[in-house]
Amino acid sequence: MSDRPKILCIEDDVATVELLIEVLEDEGFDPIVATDGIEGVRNFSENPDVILCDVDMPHMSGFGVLSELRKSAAQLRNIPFVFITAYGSRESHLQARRLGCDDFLTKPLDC
Amino acid sequence: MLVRVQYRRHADAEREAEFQRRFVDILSHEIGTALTVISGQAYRLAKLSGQLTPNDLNARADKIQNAAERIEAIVNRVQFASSLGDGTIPIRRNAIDINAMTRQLTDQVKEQQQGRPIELQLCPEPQIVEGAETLLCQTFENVIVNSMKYSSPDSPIWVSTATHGSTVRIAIADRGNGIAKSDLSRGAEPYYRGPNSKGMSGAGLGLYFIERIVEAHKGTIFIESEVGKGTKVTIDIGQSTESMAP
Repeated sequence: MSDRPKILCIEDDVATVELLIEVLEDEGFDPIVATDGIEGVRNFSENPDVILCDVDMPHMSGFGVLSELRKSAAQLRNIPFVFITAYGSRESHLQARRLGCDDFLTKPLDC
Repeated sequence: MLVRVQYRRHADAEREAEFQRRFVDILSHEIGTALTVISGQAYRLAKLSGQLTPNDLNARADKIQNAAERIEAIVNRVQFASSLGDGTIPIRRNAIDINAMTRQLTDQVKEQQQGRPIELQLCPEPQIVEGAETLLCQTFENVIVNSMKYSSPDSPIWVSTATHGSTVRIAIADRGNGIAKSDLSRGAEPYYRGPNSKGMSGAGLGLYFIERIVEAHKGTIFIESEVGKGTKVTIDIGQSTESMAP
């Protein structure tokens, strides 16, 4: 079993996911990938140390993922939840803050 | 009376602000996602230079190219939407056989979508309308591609043509995700993307384009849809008067 910190990456864009995996592995992390919100919630069982989550995704949005995990996973309190978002409007940022995300990474990501 | 006018102005301003918010969100998302790939791959290319095989190098160049094309496509669509919005849509009308156009278009889409089943049912007589060939072709292609996008890969798409009174009727149907009633009524607003389109690339301009183009041809569009069952889009465009029987 790897002792490298696990990062759960929930992102539906294939090219972005490939890049994230490459960069995170290179930086010494162990990426766990989910390509939609539902898979992201399911993969939370792999006990990530950090969650990076896109906002606009099929089946369940990033906002949905955070709400769902807040309801069902008490341990989320101790795990940083970071939205990867390209949404520029103030309303989208406020909504993410209201849901209790810890931080934002804004697309385009600086890999 | 004054209250009603003020209320309407307030509602219009709110609607305008909502369009603007959607526009910023969609553009930021589409362009930001593509730029992440471009800048990330450029950074990796610089970092890994010397270690990459020619194949790896080509694969990364392709990813950059695809991401750049994604940005170009969205910019083109927004520019076109803007010309539709200000009424500057250029229409040069020619006589078009909708049957021939539909056959050619479905062949082309099948080839692009690697044999995705399309069932074509064409009226036996030529179906001639006066219109802008490229715009009409884009309209039908947009509807067909959307039907494919929102239905399972093995599920067929039905395309048919028929004479309906003095119009040519083109119907495109699928057994896909369907559209909720509330989204159906908002689908033609520019930059509106329903919950089904989450995670799909696009600008939320598809139905807006289609309606404007059909309108410019003095045609009508009718959409029937049920969530989980599918969608049928029916477009009627007036027959060319020269092709109509005396």
